[in-house]
Amino acid sequence: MSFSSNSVIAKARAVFGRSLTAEDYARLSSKESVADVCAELKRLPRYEKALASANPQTIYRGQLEGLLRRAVFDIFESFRKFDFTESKGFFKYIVMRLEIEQILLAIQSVAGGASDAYIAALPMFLTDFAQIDLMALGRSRNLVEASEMLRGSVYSKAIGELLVSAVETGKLDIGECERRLYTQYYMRMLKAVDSEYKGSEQKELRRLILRSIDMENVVTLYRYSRIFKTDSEELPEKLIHFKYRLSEEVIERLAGYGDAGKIAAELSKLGYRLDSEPPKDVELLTERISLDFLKKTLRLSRSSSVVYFALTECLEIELKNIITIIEGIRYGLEGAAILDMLVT
Amino acid sequence: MGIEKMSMLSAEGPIGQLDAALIACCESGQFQISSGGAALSNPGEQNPYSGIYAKIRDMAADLKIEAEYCDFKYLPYESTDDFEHYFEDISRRYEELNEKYDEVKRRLEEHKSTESYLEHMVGMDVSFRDLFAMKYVKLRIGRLPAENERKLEYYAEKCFAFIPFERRPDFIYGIYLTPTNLSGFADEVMISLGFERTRLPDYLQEDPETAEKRLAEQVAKEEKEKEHIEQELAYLTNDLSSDFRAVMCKLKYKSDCFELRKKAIISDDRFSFSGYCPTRECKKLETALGAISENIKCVEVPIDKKNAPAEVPIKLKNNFITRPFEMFVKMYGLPTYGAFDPTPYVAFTYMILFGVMFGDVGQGFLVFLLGLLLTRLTKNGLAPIMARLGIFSMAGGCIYGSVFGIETIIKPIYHRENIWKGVCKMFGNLGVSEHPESIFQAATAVLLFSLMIGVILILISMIFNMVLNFRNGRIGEGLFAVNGAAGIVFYVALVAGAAGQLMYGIPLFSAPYVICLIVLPVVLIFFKEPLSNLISGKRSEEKHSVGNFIIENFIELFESAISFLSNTMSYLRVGGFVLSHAGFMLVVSQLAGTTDPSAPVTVKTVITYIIGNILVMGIEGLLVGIQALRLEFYEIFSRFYDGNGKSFTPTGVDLNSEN
Repeated sequence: MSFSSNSVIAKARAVFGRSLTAEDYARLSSKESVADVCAELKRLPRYEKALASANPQTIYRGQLEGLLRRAVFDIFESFRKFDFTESKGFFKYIVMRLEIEQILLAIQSVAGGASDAYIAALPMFLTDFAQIDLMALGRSRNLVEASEMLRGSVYSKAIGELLVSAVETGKLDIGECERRLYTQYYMRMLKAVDSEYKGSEQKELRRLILRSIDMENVVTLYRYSRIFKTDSEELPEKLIHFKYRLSEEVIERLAGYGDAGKIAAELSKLGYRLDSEPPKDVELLTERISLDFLKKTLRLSRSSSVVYFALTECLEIELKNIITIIEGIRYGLEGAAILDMLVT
Repeated sequence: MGIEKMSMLSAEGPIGQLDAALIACCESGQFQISSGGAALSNPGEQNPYSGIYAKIRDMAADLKIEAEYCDFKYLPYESTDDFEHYFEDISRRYEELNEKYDEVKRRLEEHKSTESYLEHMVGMDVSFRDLFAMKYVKLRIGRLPAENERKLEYYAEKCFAFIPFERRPDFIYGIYLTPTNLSGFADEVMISLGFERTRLPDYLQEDPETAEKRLAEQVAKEEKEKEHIEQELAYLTNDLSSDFRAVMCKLKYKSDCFELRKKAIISDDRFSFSGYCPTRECKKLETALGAISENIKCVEVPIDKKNAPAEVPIKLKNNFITRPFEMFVKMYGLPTYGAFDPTPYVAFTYMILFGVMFGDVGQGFLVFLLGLLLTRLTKNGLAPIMARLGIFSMAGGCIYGSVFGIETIIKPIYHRENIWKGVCKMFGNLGVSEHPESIFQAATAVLLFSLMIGVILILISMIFNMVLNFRNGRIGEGLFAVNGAAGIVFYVALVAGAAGQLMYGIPLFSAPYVICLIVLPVVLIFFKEPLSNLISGKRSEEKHSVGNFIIENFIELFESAISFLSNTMSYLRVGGFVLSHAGFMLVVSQLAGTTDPSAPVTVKTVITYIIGNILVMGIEGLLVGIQALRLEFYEIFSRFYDGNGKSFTPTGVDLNSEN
């Protein structure tokens, strides 16, 4: 292991050490307004710099969420500047994933005629790193223009024709766009792992990525089978095509389960275990399974790439938790109810 | 000297007198109540004083009145209603002022925020009156997050314009203008872009520069008002503080006394509680309880030292000389009831060690004086210890002939031929210089003497351990333990053999000597457990395999042997500090230029000596104190003392406790 690897691992673990604790989440969930949450977050080491100039009395939800996303992105960028090896490569994929999120939001807003909201929420820090002009994408008047904006980028191949056909049919299949974009994302990532890494490090990274894909597929499967009532023959087409432990038989069984408890039991047989009582929500279940594994990986892995990747996932989960808290407070939920919705 | 004799005192009487009985016990300061164990007849009984006490305590924090014990007997308040009325009156007076204060603070914050915006707009030569008077155009002042400025391009055709005044890394300060009929839309868009609007006070009508000056005057005025309110709050606090403290004390007292009721057993309208009291104070307490009512009956049962329960609290009893050293014993841990109180042993060994390591007549005298002064002025537990250590330090100084580091005033021991000859003879062939000029040339003797002190103290500690074990009926422990008779024989034989060989050339390590006095004790120590069981007639509760037995005992034996060596060598630090003290003073004398006896004594010499002595007293005094304590705890206590006793804590009121 090189000195650079050791230092990346040390830094990653130090960053993870400053993560929000159960007490922090409990305190945040007990707040009564976005202003109180902002004031509390200002005191935490992870977010104090990003929120230094924020005024809790005047800040609103979207602004606070934007500042928090910026804080997490700054951590990723700090690794890129700190380390000239693995972290730099991963940064590209972090940006790609954020870009994909924004592209999906952009095309939905263009299709729905709600570009104002998209532009207002667009994180400007991303525009310096993104491959495409996200502002111009958001300003597109229709999906054909949006497709033009994506031309020349890697995303055009994935969803260009879907956007054009949406204009013809009048119906945008956002689920299929999401599937294709993430399939492309994971394909590129796995290809990079295969070419740039060797041995146990390569295996560990592949395992982490494939586990992520499996968890996403479980949630997709549940949504399509239970909420959209999709036929079982069509379900495999809705999933990201890389599978790790989800064989066709397992997919069929999972599609038949109606509650998170049975899904948890099935996943447990595949090695996706949860150390605590499974929640009732399937998405929460998969995220908690992932978090348990990511924390163990962060603590035990000796590969800097693996540790860094695990850290990026954990930071995203933490950000999601805080946003859940903010939303919960806005909707007037009790602290205990909010805590039940967090991935911890 | 030793441990105060304790008795278990039980009191019993009619329930109406329970509070008075508990108060009498608290006021005596000599009674530690033990937990009743049984429930009160009304287990749900709430403490009526705790609520009002919490409110008063919160108010004390707001008024910045520190809790402090003071006399409260003069207060007329008794019932909770009386205290509530008092609290409401104070609360009303405080709230009136506090509301005004909060209002002024809020206005000041607003003004400061406005000031921060105005300073970015200086240079705009249009008055706010003109701007806000526009009929068809609305104006908003504030700041926009810098990163969102680019988003304004998207709204370029939306009929509102943002005019920046000043760009900072995080924010752009400026105004945006919008037609009146589109102001709602523009406001929504700008809020979504994170624009923070500021509203100017109505009286700011001029251009920004003039408005800034006007605002500064207003801020100055409000600051004065704030100061005035702060003064009024301070007067209120001063006015109230002594009565308030007394009220807090009385409430805490009543509340704690009420809580003590939970430790009493109540049945059929009678109460009963028991606790520990020093035997010599029992009569006094019984009289006090009897004075409340003849229906209160007390029973005293002295506690037998041999069969005392583990929870008997310990109160040490020592004389004037050794009492201050109880602090060190408490630091390590109190003895159990019936055990040995090591305080006198600690006192004398500590004083001797300190005196040896910090021997100087002048410095010792100053330490003595400082100790006396601090004892009078403060309640610091170290002050009386310092006074005693100073005396021993002076004695050490007489032996070394050192007075503030000057070694020509008193003849040191190594210059007294008749005594020093004896020392040289005592240390035999170990190369002790017969005519040392300075203590450094007598370094060998100093170090050997330190080792001697160490051997003697270790032996005394082991003898203590042996005697205490015999006294407590643990014959096996007393005979076969590492710190028992076998260990003593082993250690003495080793030391005597080494000393005989090295100092006098007498070869003591013959076969019979080694076998009987070294090997045999080691074997006895190794088989301590089975031998002890044999003597006591008990069987071992645990089953050991032979292999485990051998390995465990071998490792313990090895560890003990190493500890003998390390503990003995540890005492070399005593000699080390003697030499380092002399070294420090040599440096001081060199800096003062007095190494040449014929050098004149100037003001510089005196000042150097003063500063040097202060530094040496401070640094070395602290080091020596800590090292002597370390020797006490690690090398001495570990041989014979456990320190598992619980302190005697008389039931009473503690104002510093949270509840």
